[in-house]
Amino acid sequence: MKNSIWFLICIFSWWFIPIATAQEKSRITQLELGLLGGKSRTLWSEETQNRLNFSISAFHGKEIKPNHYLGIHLGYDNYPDVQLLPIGLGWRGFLGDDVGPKWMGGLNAGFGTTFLEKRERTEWSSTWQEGGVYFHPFLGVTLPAKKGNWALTSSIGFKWQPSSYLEGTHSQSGSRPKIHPFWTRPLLPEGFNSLNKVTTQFQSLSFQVGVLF
Amino acid sequence: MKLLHLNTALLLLASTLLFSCMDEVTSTYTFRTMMPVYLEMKDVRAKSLAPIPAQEIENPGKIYIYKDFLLINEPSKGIHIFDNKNPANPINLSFIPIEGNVDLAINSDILYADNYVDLLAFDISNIRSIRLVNRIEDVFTHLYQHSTGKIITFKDTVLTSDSPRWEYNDMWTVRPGMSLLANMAKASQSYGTGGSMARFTLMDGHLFAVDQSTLRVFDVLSPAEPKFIKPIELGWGIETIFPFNQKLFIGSNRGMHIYDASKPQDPKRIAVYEHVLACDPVVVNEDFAFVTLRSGNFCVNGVNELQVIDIRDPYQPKLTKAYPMLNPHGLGLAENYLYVAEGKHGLKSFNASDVLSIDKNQLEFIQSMKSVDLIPGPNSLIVIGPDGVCQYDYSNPAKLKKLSCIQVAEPIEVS
Repeated sequence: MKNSIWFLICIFSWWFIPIATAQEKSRITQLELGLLGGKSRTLWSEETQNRLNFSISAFHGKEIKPNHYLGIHLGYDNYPDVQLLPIGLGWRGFLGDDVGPKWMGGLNAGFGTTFLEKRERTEWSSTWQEGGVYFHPFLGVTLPAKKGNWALTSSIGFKWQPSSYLEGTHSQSGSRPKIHPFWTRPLLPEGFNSLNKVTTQFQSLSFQVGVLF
Repeated sequence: MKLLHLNTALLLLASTLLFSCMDEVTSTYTFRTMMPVYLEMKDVRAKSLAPIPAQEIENPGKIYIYKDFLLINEPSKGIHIFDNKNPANPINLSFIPIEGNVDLAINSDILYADNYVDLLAFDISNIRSIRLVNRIEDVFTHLYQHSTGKIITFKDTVLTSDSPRWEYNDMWTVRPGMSLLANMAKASQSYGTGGSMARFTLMDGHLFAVDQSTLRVFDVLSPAEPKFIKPIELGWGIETIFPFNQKLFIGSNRGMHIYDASKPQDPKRIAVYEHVLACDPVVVNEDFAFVTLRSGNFCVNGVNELQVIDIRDPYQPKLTKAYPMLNPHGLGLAENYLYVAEGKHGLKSFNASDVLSIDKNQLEFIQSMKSVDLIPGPNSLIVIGPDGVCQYDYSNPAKLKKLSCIQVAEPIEVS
């Protein structure tokens, strides 16, 4: 929980970036709150449950050509049983007149990390969470404020984001075999007799509102 | 009114859309297992057994010392041959590829090695020109699967399935620790002259070989022409064999069998010393047998101790004293000094001249030397550990001095 709070502070500290950069028009920052809706189910059951999860994201980008911005994306997604911190790249494109509402298209893609999840170890086994590559295209509108250089945004999109729960049984009780990141991990790492990996591909319809400045 | 309907319709549409995406859940279960492998002996026998250039040791098995040579078995693959004139610098000479090989013994320049169900005899009088001189077929018949006439053996394999069961492609596999062959390989991670975990041993012109339940006797009076004499049923759980003074001391996981081998062609059981279920290599001197009991694999009793058994009357072996240990595996006896491989805990040396106070006479405990078995050889104490085969100068048992270590590619796991 403490980690989560710090991360949220981190995300919202981006609010001040445009102030620090004297509100350059060639850069934009977007902060969003959202809901991720979908149906979840367990591995061995056909029963499903609606889920509605909380999501926060921040984007800071630079104009690469008129109405197109490319930048960094950070987020926080609170799924059932796992909290993911997406870190990746984002694109924003705008269509419309200089004044008034505009259409907005966007894409966030990167890797959902699990820094907030703890590894658990017992004498017999170790358990941990892993994230995966996420992909989040969306469409929306921007509604400029009457005063000031900012706008409200609202968007709807699809978010595809995997997360895995791993449980490894130790070859020897009481040992603490090394947990490798997935990109260097052999099929069955040394020190484990078995490794059970349950991967959930969260597929969500996203609805987000935010501010753009 | 129309606006209200529109809003309601939009809300319904939004909520339908919001929960229309279904998460996908998948599971993979990756596990280490012993996969059954079926072989035709005619195919095995057709393969070349000529030595090939030196190979890196992947996973050391039985060890044998002969003259200035050190032979290291690679379980189920063959035998590495080292020139060990200088224990501080053993030189890897060659490798004999023998499928299904677990045990070896040498008698008058003839190397005996098992090749699944067959016993092979190699002439090693010229170590640089080793040649097969004899093959005794179909003697280790326990490896045959009678329904198919094929050999069944097991291969350590990592498999992935979508369910956490010991089943793969409609075929049940075996958990590694529960596999009989795995246990055999585990128990035989080191053998040799004086080795406490040997399954092949030589005495009075005869070769004795034990598997999980049977003692097989071979006449090797004519070394290059071994003759299979007979099998002797011992009961289940046989692990090691140690010869001493025309007797065979056979360690099983329920006790120690003593056989009178004064007529080596026809050994007779004279006593069984029973203990709790445990893995138990044995070494012996004139008066006492030293047995280590440890927990692990099938031996799940939690007992870890060194037992000293009075065998002055071999018909009535009696426990003299038991000493708690950490997780003792193999052991070796050189004169009055006892060396115990304590698994992942290290290597211990004791002065065992007073068998009633061995614990008070611990000379050294090298915790950095994880070990599974050892052989007090003529020039060095050879210790097998998870990281390799190491040799120590043990002229001072209280101060073992490391001479060399042969590194292995796949270190064995020590429980």
